[in-house]
Amino acid sequence: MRFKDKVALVTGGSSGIGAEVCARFAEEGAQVAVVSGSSVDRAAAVVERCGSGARGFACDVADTAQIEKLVSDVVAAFGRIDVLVNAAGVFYPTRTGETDEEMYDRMADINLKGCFFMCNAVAPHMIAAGSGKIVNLGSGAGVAGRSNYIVYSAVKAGVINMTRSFAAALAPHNINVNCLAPGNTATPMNENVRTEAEYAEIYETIKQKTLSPRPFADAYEMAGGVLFLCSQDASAAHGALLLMDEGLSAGY
Amino acid sequence: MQLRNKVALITGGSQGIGEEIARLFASEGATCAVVASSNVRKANKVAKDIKRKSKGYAADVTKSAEVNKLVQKVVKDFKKIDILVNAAGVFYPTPAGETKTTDMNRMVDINLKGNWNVTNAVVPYMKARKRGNIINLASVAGVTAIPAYPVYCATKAGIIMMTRALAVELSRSGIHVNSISPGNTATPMNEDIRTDPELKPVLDFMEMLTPSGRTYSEAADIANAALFLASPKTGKAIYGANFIIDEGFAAGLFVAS
Repeated sequence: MRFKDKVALVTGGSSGIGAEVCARFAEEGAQVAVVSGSSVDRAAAVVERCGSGARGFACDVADTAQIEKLVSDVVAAFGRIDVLVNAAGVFYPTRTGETDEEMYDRMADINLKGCFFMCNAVAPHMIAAGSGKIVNLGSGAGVAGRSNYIVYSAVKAGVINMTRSFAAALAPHNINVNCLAPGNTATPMNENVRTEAEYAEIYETIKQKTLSPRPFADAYEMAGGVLFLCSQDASAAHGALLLMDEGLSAGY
Repeated sequence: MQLRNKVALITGGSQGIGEEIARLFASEGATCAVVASSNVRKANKVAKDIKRKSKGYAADVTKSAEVNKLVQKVVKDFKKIDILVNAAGVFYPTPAGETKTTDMNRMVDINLKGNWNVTNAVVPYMKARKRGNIINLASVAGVTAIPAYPVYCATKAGIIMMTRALAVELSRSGIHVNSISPGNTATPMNEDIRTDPELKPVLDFMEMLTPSGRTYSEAADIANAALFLASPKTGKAIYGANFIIDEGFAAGLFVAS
């Protein structure tokens, strides 16, 4: 019970890694604000899994007005925010010569701008409280390049370095800001890569290049990394990158 | 009990971060081979203290023959080595133009070659069992530069890349290789900086560069990260990572406001 009575706000909480993060925070005693990018209904299943201390919210993190409303709603509902996990994100190929501005903007708005404005909106509450924990979801793709996912790898590199800047800014306020970078993790976001014929070549490459015996890790383990970074055990970590990617970005 | 029935060999285990890791690992169920560089009594004392049938050893990590004998002895005593923690290291300034060759060699021999010698001796036993977990103690000085310590910075950067290269080589054999980069951590290795009035400028410099306001972490903070990497429950997906635990020291330019 490392998070008894703590309030955790998790964007991207309705599926994938974010959903596991919500469930594991709830297991360890936290009250969880489960945020879906589209509707409260989409968060319902995870809210139920988390039990009575959890509540669902909807927020498109690409929209700063919605972020402001979300943060004030969560503070109104729970009284404070002890933990922020930015797990909202989208993942799709943006190949050279085949990518339009809308595809670029959507990726950057949700994955990078959304992460920034969530931190920007939540941090003042943590500063006022005198403590806080923030974990941003980066990616192994933010450490090494990805030929088919150019914008994704660029914005995730942005998240990693933004985390370090926020860490330097917020550490004096007793707020830990760190980044967890998953590698390939089995979630709905990449189900197509794992199952569809169109992506067979990408899947094979991942299988060959992954150093460990398994190409896709479990979301449960990634949530374990997030909880560690938010725990007392990691109180000396500010601006750290916890790379949990099955060795994908260590080299070849 | 995250490390029940595990055997951990820990160099630099008789003091500082290595000792703290031995203590935490034993409290999680591991049997520890606590290795000191020369003072076996100090290692024995830690081993006796942490129980779990742990034993103390002495070996000079710079000498491969001594290291090979150590590893054979540990395997004979405990049948296997599940976890290797390379925590042996030295820390002293080596300013350009003022450093003797012997001081340069000693640092490279202990921090980099010593790390390699132990890994090189342990890996065959891990390969044979298709499992293992190696944790190398690097340093934030391997990621970001600090003045007057160029050799220290270089050896620690060397450890970080050696870690990644070993991960690439050994992951398919079921062996995890990762590094931890502590920032300033209160240990006997830097007691002089924390207490000697003559070194106050160094302490002030470190304080100025530490965003969290906690200039020195505790060894326990680093041991927690080592446990996270070593535990099969939490470290399963981690290969070739460098986990920085440094109070924000390497995060970037920091202006107190």
